[in-house]
Amino acid sequence: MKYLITEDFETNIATINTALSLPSIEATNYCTPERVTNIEHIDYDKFIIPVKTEGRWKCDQLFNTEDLVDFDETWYSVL
Amino acid sequence: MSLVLPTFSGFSHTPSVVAAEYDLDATYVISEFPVLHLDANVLDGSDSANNPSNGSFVSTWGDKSGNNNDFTEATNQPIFRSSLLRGQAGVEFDGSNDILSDSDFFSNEDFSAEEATMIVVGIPGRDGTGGFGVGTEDSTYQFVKTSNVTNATDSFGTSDYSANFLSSRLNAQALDSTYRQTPTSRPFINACKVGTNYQLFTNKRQRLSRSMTGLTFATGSGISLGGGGLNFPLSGYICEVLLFNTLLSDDDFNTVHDYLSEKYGLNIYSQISTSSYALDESNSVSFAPQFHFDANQSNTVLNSSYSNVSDGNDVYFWKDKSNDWYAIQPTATRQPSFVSSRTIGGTSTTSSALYFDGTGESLELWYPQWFGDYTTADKTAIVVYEPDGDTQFELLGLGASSSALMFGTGTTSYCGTFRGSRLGGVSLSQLSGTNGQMVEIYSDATANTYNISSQGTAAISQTTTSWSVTTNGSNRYIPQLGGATLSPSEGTAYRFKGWIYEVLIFDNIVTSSDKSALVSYAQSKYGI
Repeated sequence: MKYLITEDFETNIATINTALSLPSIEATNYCTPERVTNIEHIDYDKFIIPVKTEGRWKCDQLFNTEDLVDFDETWYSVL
Repeated sequence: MSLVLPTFSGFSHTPSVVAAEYDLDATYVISEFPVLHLDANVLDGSDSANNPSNGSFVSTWGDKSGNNNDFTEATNQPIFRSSLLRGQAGVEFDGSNDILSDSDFFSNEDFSAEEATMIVVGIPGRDGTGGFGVGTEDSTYQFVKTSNVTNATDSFGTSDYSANFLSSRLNAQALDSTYRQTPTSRPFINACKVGTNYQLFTNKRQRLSRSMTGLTFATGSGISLGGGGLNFPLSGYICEVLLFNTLLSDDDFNTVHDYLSEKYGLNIYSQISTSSYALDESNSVSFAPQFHFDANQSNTVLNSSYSNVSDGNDVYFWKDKSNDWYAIQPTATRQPSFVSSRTIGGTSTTSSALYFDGTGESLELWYPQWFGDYTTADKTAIVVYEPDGDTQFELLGLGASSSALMFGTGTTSYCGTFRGSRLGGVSLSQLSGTNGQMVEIYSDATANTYNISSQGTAAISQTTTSWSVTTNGSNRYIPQLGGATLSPSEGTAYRFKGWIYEVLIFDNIVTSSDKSALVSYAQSKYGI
């Protein structure tokens, strides 16, 4: 799994949905909007889109490799 | 729709059957005809082939009942969504001004008998792109407005109200003495029956029944969906509406719920068995669990077409084998995968499992409080699982907001399952970040204890319960297998990575002999 950090959730999700033929009987949606909640993070309030790199919902080929990042636990406020 | 005509036997002209029937679909038939049937899968009311493309504005939602009670809107049109649940469509309302209405509905239909039955499949909450799930909810909304009361006539969130077919609304927690609030996210079936009594149901679980004495049956001239421009408009979806000008019989009411349950994959209520429950040929417990998920049980790990998932593929439903209720995950990136055969770590035993990849995959238990008694702390949970080298994870979220039973090394474990507030900074040294294992959580209201064991060995004991109906029976919190309770967002830092083999959740505290039986069963089956 890789992640795309974006301010434009709807455009990126629309791209993924089109490529994966979603919505469908298999899934209602690809993912739901999730934001960077750590106010001290440089990407605070941007959207985090998980990008599957394998399996039925693989879609990393839709994005530039350099735009995809690994999971960063500092995206979130500490519980 | 079908009409069964009289038939003649021999020379007798006595009709053997005279009945009119309404076909809900090819399988489900009821004896009453609805005065209104809106089905988003047949948006024009006649042919699904005429459905618009996903995301189109809806100017007309055609009545499928044959009564031509179409709903229309010229300006503030909602959006057609082609596939919300199991490929079934819905209509999305924006929570602002979207509306569909039939302004002269009650002029055309006869409600003079002052009876009504209305059943709605809806989803409060939307993400703006046609989805729902983590991060979506609507806590104050109405699906259908049937009367002229100033405020909403439907049910809504933190304080419940209902005024469908009434001149004034019933309000607040008096609607439900056990405080099972109306859901604020995720799909459910909402029903209202009006006759000599006024009854409300969620997923076929009755939440209110009171006499109509002192209440006045009333309607407006028209009827509307989504409540746009009025109080508490819906931010969410309506998939189907059935309205009858009669008090539907129990048989028909059950048939409609069976039809909707199968069509949309929604759980409907039935009473949990209090008889003894066989775990296997050698072990049994005193009563049936509320949920029993077993990855080794055939026909329970399913895709959205109710077919068995093959090895490595994604899981949409995990069907409980005690009551046939589902854990579900309709969001693609969150679906766990099925492993048909795995040698359980630390053993030589092989088993099927569901694999959760640690990125947020989980299965959701929509509103378990509607399928049991969540007024008390008497609860038991058993999970057989194997972390995939995961030393900090939340395994079973059911209870405290955004929390779960969270394992961490040393004294960094937290226990939120079946709790209003979680225990913090405790040691669960019996658990481990690798290998197959079992955790048993016992919340006992009578003894006022909250104990956790692993394979029969105490890990935490003699800690008082922390039960809160408003937390554990909350309309907001979504329990999860493989993650923390959603509220509606989630704590994302400690997502479970590993395999879950079996889960049992009891709506009661099991006996000491039951505890022994559960441990014996799991050890024998999984070699742990």
